[in-house]
Amino acid sequence: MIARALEEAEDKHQTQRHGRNTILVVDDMELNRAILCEAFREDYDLLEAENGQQALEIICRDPDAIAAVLLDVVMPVMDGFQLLEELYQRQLLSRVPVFIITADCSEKKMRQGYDMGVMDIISKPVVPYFLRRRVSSVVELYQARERLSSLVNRQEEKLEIQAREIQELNLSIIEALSTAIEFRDCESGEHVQRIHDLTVQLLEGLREGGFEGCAFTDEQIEQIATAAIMHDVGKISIPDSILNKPGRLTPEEFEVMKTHTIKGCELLEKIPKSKDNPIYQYAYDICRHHHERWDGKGYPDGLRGEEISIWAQVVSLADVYDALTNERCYKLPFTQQEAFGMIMGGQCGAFNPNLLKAFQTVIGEKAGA
Amino acid sequence: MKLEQAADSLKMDLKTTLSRFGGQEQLLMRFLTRLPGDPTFRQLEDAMAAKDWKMVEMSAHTLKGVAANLGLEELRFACDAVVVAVRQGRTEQLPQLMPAVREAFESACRIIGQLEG
Repeated sequence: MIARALEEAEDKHQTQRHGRNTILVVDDMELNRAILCEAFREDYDLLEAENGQQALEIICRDPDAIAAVLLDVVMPVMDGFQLLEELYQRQLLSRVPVFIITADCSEKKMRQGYDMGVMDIISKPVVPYFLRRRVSSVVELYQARERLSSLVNRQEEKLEIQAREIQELNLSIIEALSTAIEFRDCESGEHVQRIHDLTVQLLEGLREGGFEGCAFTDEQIEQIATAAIMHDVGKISIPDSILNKPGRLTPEEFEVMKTHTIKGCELLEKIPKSKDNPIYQYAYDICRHHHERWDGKGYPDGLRGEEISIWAQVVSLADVYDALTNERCYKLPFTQQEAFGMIMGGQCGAFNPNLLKAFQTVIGEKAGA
Repeated sequence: MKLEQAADSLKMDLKTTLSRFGGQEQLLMRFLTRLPGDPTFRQLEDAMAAKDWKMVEMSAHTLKGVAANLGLEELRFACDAVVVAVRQGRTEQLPQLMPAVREAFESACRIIGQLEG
């Protein structure tokens, strides 16, 4: 995949380098054109035009094929300065180097030419050796500039591909870690995927609802959803006897169980260089606060209302809904409709009313409630 | 007449002129032999007769460029004098400047006519 993208970039670069190799000679006199062509015949492809109009058509057809324009001034139909004006207006003078070849090198005319952006003004009759040197050095400069910018482009493309790869790898490591932990909890890996998807749906629902503080970007939503799958990493520190106990937990056991929120944060803190990564910042908050409740009756910090970040609230709701609608080692699954009714009826703790509105839109309609 | 001989008669710097044609004598000969049939000189004369100064300037300018490329220095400078006179608004002097152009052009054509291909 990467190899092919790089090959394509390389091909594009090759075409560009070989493409810009034509010198356009513009002069109404065949003799003058022949002399200019003769000077460049060995190293370049040549095109001829008898006046500015013909030259303009040739240049506009494929500006990036033209290595240089050798331009006479006095010509019928459209003269050299009129052509310059046309090229200037089309912003082509910065792309195509133009040399004025003239027998009339008055200071005023030269100044006018340079001001419009011509590369150089060379007087007639030309000395082929000097002409070649002056034109070729500019053509090579343009080619080098183009090669460099194409090199930069290719490197940028490569970096982008690599950055994407790293991101994908990062995501798959997070998924693998989270799934491993869910397995200990009698869970299949699908729980991780479902939490991810539910989080996305709820955040999008909040965004569409236009609620305050919910104008998430697509990138933020993806970051939060990725962070969401790590919400239970702290369960790795909970003994099997508690984690997989089929019946109800004793108050002491529940106290241990509650520590998975704080233990998760401790684990995340140990990941090197995680502090600046937005995914880990979301993950830390979600790990710690996904069991808090809107009325302050959750744990571990007993936060209330908007003290709890909206993403922690979202994951909290997603986690409850997913637990209800899927089988656990201590219970059978409820139907989507039953689960929806239990959450809306307050049987699973209090939630932010705005979040419940989004939940109703996203899940309620699907559950047929 | 050989090219070297003709070049002497035309007061042409053959080496410099040939370098403009990539050192190819045939190419230089081809363009030299076209000069007598070239319409620019007649255009210049017609423009003079019509007192069309803009056209006088243009055709003298074109002929000057052709002469310069072919190494015909007398014709080149004669034409240049006409171009400068028009640009400086001294058109009343043109009747005195034109004979030099005619003479240089006709003399060049005569010598070129004797060239052996």
